[in-house]
Amino acid sequence: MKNLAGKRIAVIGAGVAGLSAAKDLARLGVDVTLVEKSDTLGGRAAGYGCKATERCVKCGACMVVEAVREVEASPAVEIRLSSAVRAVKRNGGHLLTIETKNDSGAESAEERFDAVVLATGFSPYDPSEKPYGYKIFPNVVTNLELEAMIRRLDRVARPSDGEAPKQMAFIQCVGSRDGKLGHLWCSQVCCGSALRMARWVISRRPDTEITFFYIDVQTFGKDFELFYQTVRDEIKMIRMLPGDLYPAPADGIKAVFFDPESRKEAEMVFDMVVLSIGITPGRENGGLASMFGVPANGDGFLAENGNGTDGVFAAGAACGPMSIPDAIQNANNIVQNVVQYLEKG
Amino acid sequence: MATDLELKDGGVADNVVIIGGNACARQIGEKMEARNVPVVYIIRETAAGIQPGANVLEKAGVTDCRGGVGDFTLSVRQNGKRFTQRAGAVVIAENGDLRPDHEAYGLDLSPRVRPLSEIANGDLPDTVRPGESVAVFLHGLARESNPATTRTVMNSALTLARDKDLKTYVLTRNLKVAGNGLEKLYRSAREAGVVFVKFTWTAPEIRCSHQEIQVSFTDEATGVLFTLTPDVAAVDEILAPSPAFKQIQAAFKLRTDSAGFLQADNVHRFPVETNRKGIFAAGPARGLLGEHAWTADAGAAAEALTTVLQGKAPDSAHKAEINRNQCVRCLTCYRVCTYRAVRIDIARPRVIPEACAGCGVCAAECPREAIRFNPYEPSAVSAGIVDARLERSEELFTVAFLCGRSAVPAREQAFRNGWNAPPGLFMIDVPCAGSISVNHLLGAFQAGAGGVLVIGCHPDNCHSENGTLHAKSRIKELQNIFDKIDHPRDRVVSASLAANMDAGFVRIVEEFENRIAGFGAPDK
Amino acid sequence: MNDMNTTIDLSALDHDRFKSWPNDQDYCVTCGLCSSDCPASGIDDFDPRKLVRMVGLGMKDEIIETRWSWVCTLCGKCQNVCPMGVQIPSMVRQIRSMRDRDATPGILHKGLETAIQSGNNLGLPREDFIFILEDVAEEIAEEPGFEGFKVPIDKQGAGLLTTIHNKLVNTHTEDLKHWWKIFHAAGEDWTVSSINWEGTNWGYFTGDDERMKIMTERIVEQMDRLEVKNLLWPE
Repeated sequence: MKNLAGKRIAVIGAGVAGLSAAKDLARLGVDVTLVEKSDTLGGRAAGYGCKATERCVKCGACMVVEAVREVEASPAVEIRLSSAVRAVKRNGGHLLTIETKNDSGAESAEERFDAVVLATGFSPYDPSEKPYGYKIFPNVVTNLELEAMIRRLDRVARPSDGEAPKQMAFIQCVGSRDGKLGHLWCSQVCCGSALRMARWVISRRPDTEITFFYIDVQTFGKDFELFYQTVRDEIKMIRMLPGDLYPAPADGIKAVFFDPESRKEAEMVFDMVVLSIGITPGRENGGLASMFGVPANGDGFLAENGNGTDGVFAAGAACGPMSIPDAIQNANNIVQNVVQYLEKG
Repeated sequence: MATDLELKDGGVADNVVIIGGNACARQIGEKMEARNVPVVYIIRETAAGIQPGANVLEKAGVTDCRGGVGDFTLSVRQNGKRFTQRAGAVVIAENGDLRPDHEAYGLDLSPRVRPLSEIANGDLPDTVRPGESVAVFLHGLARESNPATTRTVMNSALTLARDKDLKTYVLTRNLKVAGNGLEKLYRSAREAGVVFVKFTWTAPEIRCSHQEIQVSFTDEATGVLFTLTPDVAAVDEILAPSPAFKQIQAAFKLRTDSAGFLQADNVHRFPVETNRKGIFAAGPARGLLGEHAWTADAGAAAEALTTVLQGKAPDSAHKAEINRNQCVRCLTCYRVCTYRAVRIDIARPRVIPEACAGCGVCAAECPREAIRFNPYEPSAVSAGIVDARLERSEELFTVAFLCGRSAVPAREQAFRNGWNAPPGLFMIDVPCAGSISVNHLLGAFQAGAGGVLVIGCHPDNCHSENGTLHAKSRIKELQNIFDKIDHPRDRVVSASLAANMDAGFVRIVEEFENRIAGFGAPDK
Repeated sequence: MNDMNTTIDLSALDHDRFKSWPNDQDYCVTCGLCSSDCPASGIDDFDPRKLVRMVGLGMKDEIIETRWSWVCTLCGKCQNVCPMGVQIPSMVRQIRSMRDRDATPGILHKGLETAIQSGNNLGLPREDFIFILEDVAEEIAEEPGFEGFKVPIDKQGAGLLTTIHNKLVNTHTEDLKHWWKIFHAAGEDWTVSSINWEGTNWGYFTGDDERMKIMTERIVEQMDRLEVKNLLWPE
């Protein structure tokens, strides 16, 4: 490990995986440059709320704050916000042209790194093309928007009037498990996010009626069996995805669906509908793949071990859907590979 | 053997002890050996599968573990002999028990009814005839399954349908496709002819006689009543802690999850940390199944081991210290320390600084006030509150104790969002809500506080595991005193938060301030 | 199905029976979007997911026997929303095609036979057809703004050929007027063929591809005969 002093690593992306990788590498005495295109640290997960009810429900969103604090305090991490890699040259290392936006425009600098970790995350699916009236009906929101509401407001407010919803619906698998879109994968995190949020809403407002439309409820967390039992007591679980949503009085939303038990067409009116949108490959994955020579798989996610040979690695949701704890575990594992690579070199 | 690691100053042992010999354990060992870190395996069984030349204590177990990072002493028992083994750090990757779930279906294991792993290994009864026989997977019906088991089920079913030409059925409730490639595997299995039947509000009826098993059910999508008479039925296996886990847990004094795996279900332990610094749990030891999860954990464990052996893991700025002259050896500190940082030394406890995480719970709990936890001594904190009172002209003065893990970051973010603290509020940052003793609380009231608020982490989210619960019980204690003297009990309030709840922080403080304002300033 | 309480040995079914159909029914994950979106769901216990499932399981006798494939209007909404791209309308037509022709519901079989023989489902002779059209045209010509209106039958080189649904020359002649008035107002250069004008295609409807093709080819022949480039085929 002696030979790691003075090594320079660029970590691209300051979400869960990038922060974890940066802090782990910094702990090992490596100089880290953390390049983040937005003007804050934390990535998408920084927009997720705490969904604890009577106790912690282990979503991991709070861990982002902890990681941000450690990275900010670490002298070994140089943080570059509003920055992006514009070009890469290989020359016994990685010569990265990093462009940083500032008040007077943008500045570019070319810097040498011994290895690169791509932790650029995912892009959420845009549900506008689904028949759910997203961006048409004011009270149809995405799971990420609901997360952000819990995070910022500490309560759920209907976009149309700021009131707390009384009848909420969650619709799962919007843009996931969708062969037609080429998304032949489960996004892995949405059942956990949605059901935790649903229970959080009920814990705050026990009179809220929540309906959950789904295909298969996915496991999350250790005490899932117990959690799921509570869910089935508190939430109306319907194993069917609704077809069209229609406007209803007072900015409500009418869902039409085939009720699987009665085998009849059914209607329910909600005052808020939450679409659990899928995790899709980061929009920049294609560009990153060619710029850094990292293979992307057929779905468009980056290969977990990068190109495996010359010091470019990928971590976190850039490689596929994963939860916050999984992204941390994945980043730990990738750091291990980075260290092995540096020790060889 | 010298290692390539730059050992931290004062570190005595530079090696890693790995408990277990499975694939997860071996991957960790190989990664550490590649770094020239000496590895000792301690394995209950024989050393099968471990690379030749490795340092293995087989048919051995650990009965005790003392010390802290860089200087653990393990008591080992092997073949009736007892000896000690030093360790710089320890990782536990012990195998759990894979228990077939047949009893949940009223079935006995037989040539026809087999655990999933046997079917996955291609071990089929002789009676199975290609092109004729029927195979049924009873999957996730008795309890919810998980993606790792679902992967095994779908791979096995696909093989039976495609290669053995069996009529193959998977009967399940929620099909767990939340793993890489599983949705595609699900499709491949169906293309190969596997039929999946999913149950929601109904369940299959399983009857078993000596001659045959009969499964009857309603297919919910069609409402049709079907029967199946499988020639072979595979039942899920559930990963459970093995009997060895209890013994390991006792030897290492580990917190477990509700099932008994060797890692508390607390996000701050993710991925491989335990309540003891320098002791890690990986793979099956923390309840994980599946090759992918084991490999990821092996990497995470190697990363964590490397960090602690170099002394690079974050450490707390403040450590508890026991005043041995004041101590009466009641061992309260020994019992309450989540980190097992209190050692009974020559019949008197002392704090091992390497193990102490600086939460201050022991100091707050010590009935003799024999534990110093600078700079959070009640006297020093109370003096600070008196000064703060003098600086404030507001009639109503309130005090909030804020956990440094949750409430403090939440407040900092609230400040960045533009929040203004009420002028009469004095906030004291503490490492853990559990470090607040009754003396701290009384000190605030003595200094003229109209109300005291303590904000800790949510239960199960506390780094010290029970800090919030300790704080709550301290507050209850004080409220009971208030009840006796007819003082409003709600002048002291506890609340819980997570670090990302800046909006929640503002709400809690506002509610508290309003409540105390309702009571008015206290009588002088 | 007549009796849903009959118990079936699932393994006795040939699940591969319809594997060769190009409808991707094996891709179904039973999400239910098709059934939720189908305007006919619930009619006679029909829902498209059930039919997809039965095809996937190879329940041949049951799917031929039930009315469900005939309850479907082939509107295609199910296929539009299906996240796995299962081609449900095409699958429904496959099912319909498996029924004995004389067991197709109502007048479909008889109508199609008549159409194959006479050119239209009613067996309406050419001169009667022309008489009806001209009669309707005369009525239009009596309305203000449509003075001198004539129906351009068999107009060589017209811009647009339109087919006629048989009910428009039977019970719904008033509906012809709406179309024609629009053509007139739009200044459209249009025509109607005096033979093989039938717009409905019960070959398509009953899954009888061979006869569907005959009926379609006849329309194309009229386009060739009249040298018309554009076809309006309102069904």
